[in-house]
Amino acid sequence: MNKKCALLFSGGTDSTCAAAVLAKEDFREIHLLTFFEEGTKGSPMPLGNAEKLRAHFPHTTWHHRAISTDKIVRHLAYENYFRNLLSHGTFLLAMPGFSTLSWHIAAIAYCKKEGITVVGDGLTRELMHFPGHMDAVIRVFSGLYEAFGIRYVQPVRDWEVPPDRQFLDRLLIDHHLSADTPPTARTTGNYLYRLGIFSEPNVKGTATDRRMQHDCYPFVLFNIFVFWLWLPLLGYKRYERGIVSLFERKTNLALVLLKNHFAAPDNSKLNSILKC
Amino acid sequence: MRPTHATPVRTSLRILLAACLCILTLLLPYRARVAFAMGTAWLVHLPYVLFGKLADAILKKSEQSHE
Repeated sequence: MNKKCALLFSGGTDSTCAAAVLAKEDFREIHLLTFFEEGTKGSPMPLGNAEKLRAHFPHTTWHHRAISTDKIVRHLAYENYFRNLLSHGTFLLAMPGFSTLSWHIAAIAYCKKEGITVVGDGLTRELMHFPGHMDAVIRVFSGLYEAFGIRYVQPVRDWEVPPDRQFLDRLLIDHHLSADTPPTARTTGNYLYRLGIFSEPNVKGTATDRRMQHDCYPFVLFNIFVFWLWLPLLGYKRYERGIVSLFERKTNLALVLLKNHFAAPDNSKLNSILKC
Repeated sequence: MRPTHATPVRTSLRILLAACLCILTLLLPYRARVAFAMGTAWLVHLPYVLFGKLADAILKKSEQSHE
């Protein structure tokens, strides 16, 4: 049987590792989906690591697709704007979450077209303040996939994460500092290093990383809202509850858009949004 | 989540600044909002990038002088 799956692929360490894990799990056909939008237009397409995966797993058929989700992000962020502003307040500025949900919507549309029933993601437990990284939001997204008969998997979700580096270290690390991840740790970088796909166990945050990876939505402004406004005023639990509530509503909207799309593809609202 | 050790005054100033940015961002249409997010990221990173480049150059010089 030709086992096939799709993978949300930025080309960074985690998604490249997830691709390698899925290839080792006997998926014979893997579709790497890279999504781009207005906020990531200056960022490179991750062709290098896709090529490395092809070379390392020659028995797997690799397809690499770049898909624009710009109009979906805009629709998610601005539909019923003032009503949503009353219900969810400033959480409507959680743009990285809309970006993530747009990837899932586009991935579902792609998988239904290609007959794929498994979608993978390279999520780890880093950056847990991002909507798409929260357990509760992941459960909501999993429910969206299930509604279309697709299983959403995160093969490296509970792997160890390398020690955080300060921004200044990252600027200097390529030339002057040695890798600081213990060689035995079960991190995504170590896994790729041991397979021979990466030349170092931890490239996260380095110039190499920026060259090989397609960015996600520019999140500095979002981080300012999280760490300077929402967390000091609300605390993590209330912040998480607010974000989950917003993404439950937006995921319900996505469900309706997708159902209408599959019922009447030519006339659906999503069809016009996907045509970018 | 990493604990922060900000003083009450610093926290209040941060809340005030973030609230101003928040209101401004809420009023912006999509393209302007994205441009504002990119501009803010560029501004926040600029001093670090410049300092990093300076430190990198100094380290390279120092390595060359040791050889």
